[in-house]
Amino acid sequence: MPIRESVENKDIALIDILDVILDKGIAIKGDLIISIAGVDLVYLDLRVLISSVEKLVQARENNPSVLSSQLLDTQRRELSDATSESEHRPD
Amino acid sequence: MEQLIYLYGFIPGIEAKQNPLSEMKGFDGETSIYTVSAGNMEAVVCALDETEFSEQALQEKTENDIKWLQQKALHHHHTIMNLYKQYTLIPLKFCTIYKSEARLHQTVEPKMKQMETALEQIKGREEWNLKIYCEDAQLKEEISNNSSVVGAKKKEISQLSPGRRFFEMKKIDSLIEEELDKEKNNICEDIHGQMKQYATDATVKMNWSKEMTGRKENMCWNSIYFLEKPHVESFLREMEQKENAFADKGFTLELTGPWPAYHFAGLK
Repeated sequence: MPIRESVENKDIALIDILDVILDKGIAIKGDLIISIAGVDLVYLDLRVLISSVEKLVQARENNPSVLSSQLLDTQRRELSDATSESEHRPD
Repeated sequence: MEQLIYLYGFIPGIEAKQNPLSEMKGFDGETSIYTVSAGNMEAVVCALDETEFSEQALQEKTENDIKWLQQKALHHHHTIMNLYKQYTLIPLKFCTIYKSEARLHQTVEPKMKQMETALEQIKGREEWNLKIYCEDAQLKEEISNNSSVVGAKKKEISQLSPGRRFFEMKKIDSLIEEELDKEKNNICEDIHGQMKQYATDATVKMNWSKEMTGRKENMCWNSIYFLEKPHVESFLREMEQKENAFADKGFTLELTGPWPAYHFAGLK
């Protein structure tokens, strides 16, 4: 039995995606100034981003049936789009 | 007008030559993603309109337009996933944007050697993420009944006068909470310590609050492992065992992966 289940084949929660694409510094200002540090990166305040996500979660909680399923559907569709794109790409 | 450059990541030039980039839409949903040569590597980028995606505009968008944020985060995610499936990839974080192509080159130039080494390391390895959640009730009851610290406190209280006993009893609750946190952390540290033996590198991240995860249980652990591919299978098997072993105590172990090497591209 295959024990492996890859990210692409699973429903990944938005939080998991944000967790990796925003890195470890969820409370540290300026952590979005990325690893390849340079003065010229456009600066995006991480706290702003976090509070936006909080709002998103709250909205989802206040209207769970509509928003959460919508959210999941979008994610799933977008994820599967990405998968099929690469599968259908001619070699 | 100057164009901003959104950087998704770096791939080896040789791989890009053998397998040219397929058509993908960029961050603005209109222009296409393309590559820019940087030494032996290709930077995967797209152009952005300077006015529409200025620092200020980005701040405002992320603050006020949740749909936008969600859409863009997902765009970043599956663009990276798409690249990851086809190439050895150094993935960049969300919204890594340079003011111009020249600036991108300037910043990348001194890091070139380091990045090439990183690409070599990434080639044979995978990144996995473990999040541990805990349904506190069970463990709390266990601590309340069996903890020696709590037991000693209870005994001490039972010898007090009834009036004082009332107030001291209240302290028991916070003592139990304290012991609970300690115990949870010990268990997680323990799991991590064992799992990390399979990895060439591991890192512990911050936990997300319940508001953020939208879950009933508290997140009590969040860690990342960088594994050599031949070790992944046994790592997963061990994880499965741990999942079962700790389910009784109210722990949920959630493993996701393989992720692009966001945390171990080593470009700090």
